[in-house]
Amino acid sequence: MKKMREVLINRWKKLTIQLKLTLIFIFTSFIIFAVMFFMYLNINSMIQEIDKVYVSNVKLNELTDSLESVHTSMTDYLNTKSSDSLENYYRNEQEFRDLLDSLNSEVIDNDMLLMEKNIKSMSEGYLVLTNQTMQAKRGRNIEKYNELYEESCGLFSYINTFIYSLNNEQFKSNSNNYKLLLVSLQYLEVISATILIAVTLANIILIFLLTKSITRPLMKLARAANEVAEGKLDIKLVNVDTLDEVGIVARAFNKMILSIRNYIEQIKEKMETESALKEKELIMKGHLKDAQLKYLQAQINPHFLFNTLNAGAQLAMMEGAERTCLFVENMADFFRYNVKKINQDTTIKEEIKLVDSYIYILNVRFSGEINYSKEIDSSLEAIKIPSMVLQPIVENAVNYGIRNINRKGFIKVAVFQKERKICISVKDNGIGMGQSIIDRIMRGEEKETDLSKNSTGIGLGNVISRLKLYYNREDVFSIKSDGMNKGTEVLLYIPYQK
Amino acid sequence: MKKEWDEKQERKQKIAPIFMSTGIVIILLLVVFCMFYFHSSIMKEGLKDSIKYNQYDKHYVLITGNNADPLWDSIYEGALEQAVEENAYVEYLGKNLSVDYSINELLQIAIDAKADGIIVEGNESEETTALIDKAVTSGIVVTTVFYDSSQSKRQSFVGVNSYNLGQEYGEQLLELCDESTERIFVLMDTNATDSSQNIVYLGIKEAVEKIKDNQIAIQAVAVDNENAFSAEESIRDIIMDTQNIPDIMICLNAVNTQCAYQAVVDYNKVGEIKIIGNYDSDTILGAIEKKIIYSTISIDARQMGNLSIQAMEEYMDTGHVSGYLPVNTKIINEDNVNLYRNAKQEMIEND
Repeated sequence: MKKMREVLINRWKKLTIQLKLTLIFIFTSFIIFAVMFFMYLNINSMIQEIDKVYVSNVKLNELTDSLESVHTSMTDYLNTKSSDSLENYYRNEQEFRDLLDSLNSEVIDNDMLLMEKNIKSMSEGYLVLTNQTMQAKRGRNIEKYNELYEESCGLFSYINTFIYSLNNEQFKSNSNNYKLLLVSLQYLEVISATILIAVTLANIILIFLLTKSITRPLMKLARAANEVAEGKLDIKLVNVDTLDEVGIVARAFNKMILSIRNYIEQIKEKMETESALKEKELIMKGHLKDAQLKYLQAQINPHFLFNTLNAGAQLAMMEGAERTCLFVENMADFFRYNVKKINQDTTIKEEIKLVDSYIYILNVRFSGEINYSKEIDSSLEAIKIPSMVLQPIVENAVNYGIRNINRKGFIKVAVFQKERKICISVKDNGIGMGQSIIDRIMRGEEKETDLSKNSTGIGLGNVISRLKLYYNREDVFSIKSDGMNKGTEVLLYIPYQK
Repeated sequence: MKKEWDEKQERKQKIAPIFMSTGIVIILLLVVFCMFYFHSSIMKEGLKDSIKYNQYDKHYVLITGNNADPLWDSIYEGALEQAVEENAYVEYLGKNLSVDYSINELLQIAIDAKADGIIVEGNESEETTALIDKAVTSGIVVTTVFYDSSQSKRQSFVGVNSYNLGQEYGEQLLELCDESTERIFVLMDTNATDSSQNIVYLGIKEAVEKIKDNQIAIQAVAVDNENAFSAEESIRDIIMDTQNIPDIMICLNAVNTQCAYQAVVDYNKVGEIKIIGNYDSDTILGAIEKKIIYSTISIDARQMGNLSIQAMEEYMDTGHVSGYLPVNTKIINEDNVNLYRNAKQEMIEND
């Protein structure tokens, strides 16, 4: 049953709209036609019944007429003895007998049928009497035929009374039937009309539903199209599983929506990457500007300063103060680097050189407190990195690591390759730091406080952000410390590119 | 909002085919139901004529001179009841006819119609006797009922012993008589030609004579029963004759009893004229309850019908039957009228 239904539904879905509409029309017309046909049959059979009602009365009237003819022709013969009347008599007698045959001759508990039986028996007796009368007339037995005639007349009147009474009874019962039939005919009319109305209503509902099944996909399609027109492209696809014209349009529509969506998606992606790139650039620039500004704040006129320093170094050389001369040269290098490199990438080698100058200056300032050592893989010295990266780290190690310890401070800078990364390590033996401070620095939350004293002004945070932006990755920087007074190691991870 | 709408739409889509198929099924059911309804109703109309009737072997007829009398209806019912058991049917001849035929004419008709048996209300007229003889000679079994045709060749007579009936009337009369009773009328049917009424009258008279030193005048009054309504008129005449008002009226048949009762009520003679009736119609029983009729003698009419059929069957089976079969009578008065009425009611319900 279910399978059959599915098959039917599938078949229906495969039909074209034209065929569907035609089928609906044929189906509903067929229902109406069937109902009409059935009603016509009913009314027809009813009318036939009504026709039959008075047939029995007509038959009885025929019987009376026939009996009358028999009696008349007998009387005629008795009067005239003509051969015509004799012939008439025999013909009428035969007719009468034929009519009698249709009467009931059984004992049945219905008064009317019993009367028929009586009429039949009496009529048979009557015909015997009339025959005898005719014979007596032929034999000229006047006395006998008179007597028989009298007798048959009596019987004739009895039979007539019986037929008349039976006719009456039948008429009564027939009238009753007739009335009932008329009433039921009226009922039939009312109920026929009711059925017709009901079927028509049902048909309307049926047509409504069937046509709705055709137009529903259209409506869906229109709705979807309206939504698309309003700019909502993320609508659900139109679900139409019919194979008719609407189905074809719907599928085309779906395809269109999908391809539009795809296209928009592509444009979006493109725009997103572009904007991300731009953003990065902007941030980068911002940070550089920031670093630059800080340098400018710290070094009012580096050109003037390092020219002056150079003049100082030459003066020291002339006076034979070699150490002063070296010190002033280093300072000049340090400031020159800042002026020169601030806007461009540099190499590891240059950065290390800057650190060397810085340490030398510090050692002069603080009379050789810092033990500085290097462990450089010379093959990596040419690798490009952003400028002003290493020095702030070393500065940090000096300021926060070894400045305030009583023992001798060490700082070790190492450059080596680890897996596919280049590691630059700045290690000190200072006071170290707690994990919470490390985390805060890594997140860029720790504020650089003493910019004014002993600092080039670039904080760790600035270095970290610049590295992250430059290499576009997060794992560029780590700080390791085993705890209080156990020193700190800052590691930079630079992706290795040949 | 939109999603909701979509879901609703989807639900609708799922419901629609169910709704549709249900609709179609309902239409079909409606059509089929109406089809059956009409078919059956038309068939019912059409079958009115051809309801299965039962067929029987023998055809008996009942002939009475007065088919308006409820007594004869009871006799007919009794006869029919018995006949059906014997696979025969009884026709109440003359009942459905447009002409009121006399007993003799009906007898002739029954002979011509070749009935198997005739139950007839007999009388002693020569013509009736001759017709009964004619029927018997043409092979029809004849039983007289209620009144006999003693001179005829009828096979049997079923009826009340008139003398006993007279005695019973007498007994009732004795209960009713007191010092003030002067005149008693016995209403007699003029067209009853047999002697049975006379015998009844005799019985009554004998009973009255038992009363010592009585001044009671007992008188047979003829009531003309020949024409329709004549009995009623005759009885009214009697009651309106203020000079000759009876103290007690004895009615020998049902019609007279009912007429007398009605007349007594109409002329405000209740209590003045006492009635002893015959038969047990509802009207008569009601009158007894109201103490207008003192008592009634009821003949077991159904038994009478039963016995007449039994007599004919016995004759057909064995070739002979007892010439006289007595029927029970029963006196109904104020004391037992309720009992009798209930019993009658029960019998009707059982039918």
